[in-house]
Amino acid sequence: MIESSAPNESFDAKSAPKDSGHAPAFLGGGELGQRMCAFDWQTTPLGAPSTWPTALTTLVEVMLQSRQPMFLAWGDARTMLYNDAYATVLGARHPDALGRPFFDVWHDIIDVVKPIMDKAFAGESTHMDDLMLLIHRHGYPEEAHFAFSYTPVRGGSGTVMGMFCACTETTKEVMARRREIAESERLENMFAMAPSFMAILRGPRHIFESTNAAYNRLIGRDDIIGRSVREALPDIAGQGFFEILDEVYATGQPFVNQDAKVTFQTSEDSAPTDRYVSFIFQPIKGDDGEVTGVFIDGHDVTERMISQGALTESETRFREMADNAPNFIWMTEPSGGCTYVNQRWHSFTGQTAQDVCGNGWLDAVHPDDLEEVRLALQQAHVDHDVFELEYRLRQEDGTYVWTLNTAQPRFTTDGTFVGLLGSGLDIDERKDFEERQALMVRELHHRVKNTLATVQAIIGFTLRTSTDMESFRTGVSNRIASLARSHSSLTDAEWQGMDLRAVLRSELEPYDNGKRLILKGPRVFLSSDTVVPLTMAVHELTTNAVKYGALSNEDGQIEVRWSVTIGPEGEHLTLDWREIGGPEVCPPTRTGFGTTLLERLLGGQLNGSATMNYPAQGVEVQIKAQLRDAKVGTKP
Amino acid sequence: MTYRHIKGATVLVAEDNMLVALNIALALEDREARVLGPCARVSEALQMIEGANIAGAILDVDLIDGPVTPLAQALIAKGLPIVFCTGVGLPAELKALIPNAEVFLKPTEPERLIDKLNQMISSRMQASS
Repeated sequence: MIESSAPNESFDAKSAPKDSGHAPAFLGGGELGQRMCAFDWQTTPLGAPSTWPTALTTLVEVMLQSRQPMFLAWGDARTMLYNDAYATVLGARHPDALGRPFFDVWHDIIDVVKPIMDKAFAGESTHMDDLMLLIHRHGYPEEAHFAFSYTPVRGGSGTVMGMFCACTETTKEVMARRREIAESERLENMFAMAPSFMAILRGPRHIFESTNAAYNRLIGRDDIIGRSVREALPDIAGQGFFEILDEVYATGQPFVNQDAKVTFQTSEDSAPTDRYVSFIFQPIKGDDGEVTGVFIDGHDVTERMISQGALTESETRFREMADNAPNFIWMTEPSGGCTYVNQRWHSFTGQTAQDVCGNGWLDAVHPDDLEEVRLALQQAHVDHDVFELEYRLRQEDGTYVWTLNTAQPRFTTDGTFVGLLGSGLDIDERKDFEERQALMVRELHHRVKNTLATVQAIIGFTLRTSTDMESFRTGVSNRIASLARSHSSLTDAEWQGMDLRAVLRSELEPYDNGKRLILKGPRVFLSSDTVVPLTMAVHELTTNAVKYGALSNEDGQIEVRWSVTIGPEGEHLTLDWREIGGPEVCPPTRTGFGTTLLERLLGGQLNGSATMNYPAQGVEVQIKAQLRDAKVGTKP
Repeated sequence: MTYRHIKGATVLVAEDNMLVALNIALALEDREARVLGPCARVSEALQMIEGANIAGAILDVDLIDGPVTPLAQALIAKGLPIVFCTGVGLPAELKALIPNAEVFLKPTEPERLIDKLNQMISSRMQASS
């Protein structure tokens, strides 16, 4: 590179020295023509122009007329002559270069140009393609490129007298080429680095011309340049892509596809892998419009498809689970409107998907609970909080059922509230249970008080009939034991009542050896209110029998027979207690507690009575009672 | 304590625990009172007091066939004193009906019930004389 350090000076022809020997060849030669006219050629080895050889004057004339930069280096001194166009190339070396030896002018690039110059003077033409110079064409240093051809000029004798050089400025071409290279490098870079996959196919067989890294990643190989798609990617044969390429090539119409599945299998041993791609096959056309190839550009969307697929699957799974759940499941949007209820809700309420939309689902809530539900829902949506409420929900048949509803706020990963996810449970049974339980607690309380009152009564009776402390102790103890027995039996029956036979057996059983006890009668169901005093009465009769009657010896028997008759007043029980085979009976001198109990118990009732007889062969008791609450079985 | 007002008087006993009822009845008889009942049912008791000349009543609040309220109303209508003996307390409707009701919680010795009834009969007789 040669830098000129100052702009060209403008030439003042008038200031040039006058010379008589100027040649007509200089006429019309522009600035240099005038300078040559004015130049004192006598000071150079060339001498006066009039003495110049024809070849020189001819070339000078040609040179000065040309707009192409040209110069001559003449004679052994290589004296320089040049035209206006070359003055630009010379830059600051002009105008001093005129008539000076070439090597003086270009002393700084003598290494480059001397061999060329010497070659020319040896008779050999040389061409120099690109010489870069910094020139001041526009008032500032500027990169310029030139091509030079050095041609020897021979005299009549055939010896080389000088060298003629025509220059061609190639700056534009060089710059254009440089831009082109840069652009193509940029494109190549883009192509290579692009996140989308790209490939260029040439010809009807779709030969891979180039592919980028993304494309190679997609197909899982990088040895495909120069091979046809069918050769390079045999594993995707039969998936329709080759046929589409053929079609694009044949018709010149681009082909676009979204989320297409392509299955690669890079080798026999490897497992096939599915990828999803969105791509375009763009035909590449020549200047004549003929298709010369296909440009492939696309994105690997596998990850998106997989996550979307996973989402779809998890959504499907959720719906399946929700629809098969025994609970009600519902979802709302942030504003509180219902967006989803599960199948259970639909089948329970009879509401259609249309019905539940927005606030429609609340139509199934009991009118008395509606306001509370509305407020609680509203609050949960405002506070993004949990929701828990019990309310009644209408079934399809119009009846209401208690439900327990709980809901959690739903948030996206970035914390945005997106509504509630709720579930409801039919708690009618639980409500029932709770009510029953509360009732039972009250009932238990009542019963405990009653039992204490009963125990108090037993103590009272026993005191009445006891002659001494010992008989009081046994009396109270036995009676409380009897009371405990009837309580146990009643508890087993959940205090619903007891069968008459069971009441009799509970007191008499300990004295039975398989022969002493005869119980005959139908199933008679006694209410729990009746069971306790009746057990007590049987206890008293049994105690008497053990002390004085049929159970006081080894082989006495007790026979109890009963029957139920249904009259206009209801059901009547008649029970006969008969003692057989005991010691001879003496009528008691005082009324026993058992008798009092029976007589008073039944005597207090309308249509009830207890009759005691004391024949010598054994005690006989007849009990008549009206069974209002009792249930009578049909089987004996 | 004398039982001059109870002696010879007829007292209704309505109590569905028959052993408790009997205990009360026997205690009344010890004081030479006449016992109407004991009744375990409201319906029975209502039938029994028809035309009977009774001086007062000892009532449980719940009988086999339901709350004793209708019976209490009938007795109040006759201006008769009532002593309640209950395991659980007086239900609201009875409280409303008889704001100053005499209520004893089970278990209560029969004598205490009878004392109270005797006292009530006595003050009623003084008031009317």
